[in-house]
Amino acid sequence: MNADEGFTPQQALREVGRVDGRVRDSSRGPGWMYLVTGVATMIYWPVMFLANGAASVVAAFAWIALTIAICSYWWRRKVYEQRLMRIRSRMTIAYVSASSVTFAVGAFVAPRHPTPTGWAVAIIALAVISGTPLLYAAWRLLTRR
Amino acid sequence: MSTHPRHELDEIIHAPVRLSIVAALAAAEKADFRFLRDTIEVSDSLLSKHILTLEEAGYVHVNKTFVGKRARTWLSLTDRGRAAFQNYMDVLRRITEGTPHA
Repeated sequence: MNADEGFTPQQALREVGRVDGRVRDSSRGPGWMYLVTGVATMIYWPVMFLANGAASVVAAFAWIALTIAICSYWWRRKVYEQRLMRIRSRMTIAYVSASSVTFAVGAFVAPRHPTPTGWAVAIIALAVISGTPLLYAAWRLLTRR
Repeated sequence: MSTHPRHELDEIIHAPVRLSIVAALAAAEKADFRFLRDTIEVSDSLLSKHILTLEEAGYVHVNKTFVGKRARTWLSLTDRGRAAFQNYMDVLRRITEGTPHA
């Protein structure tokens, strides 16, 4: 780019579109991050509340590792797109709310070892609901152009 | 006689590099200096020079932070800068679409 030459209006519009596209593309990474975390959420809660012994321990350590990876990735980002931040704030409220309900039901309400089938189905359903906001955010970020 | 809309183009924004900076920041809540440098493909010194012009015009806010010993420079558009870019884009569209000045 020659900084001494001016843009024609058409060139200016093209440049705005190009730069806007680069900023938008930067949100694909967080899109994949939300997809992985959403699927992990749907697996994590049932394992924690329905599986025995080693599986719960493995799930807990995997969750800690995933959390550290997410925080590190988010902290190292070089650009925070406006639409990503808007989607993120709404998604976070929905995710934290749904996860809190899932945790409360699994930890304090549902009978444990063995968990009756009805309660197990409820925990799986709540886990799916908990992960859904993340999958929705991933879908919004990965499919738009 | 009406004035051609090109006279309404904001000269601070309507310059290569500065337009790219403002366009990138308009799509972002905030962006790192290195992201802008790599996206716009200019040298650190040229980017700094144009950021200073935009900062003096009140269009860009510069925030320097430290992560350990490493400095990071975050840039964002001010409300004034966002309004100026919106107005600039409106004028640009009027020119390219051939709409007469209202």
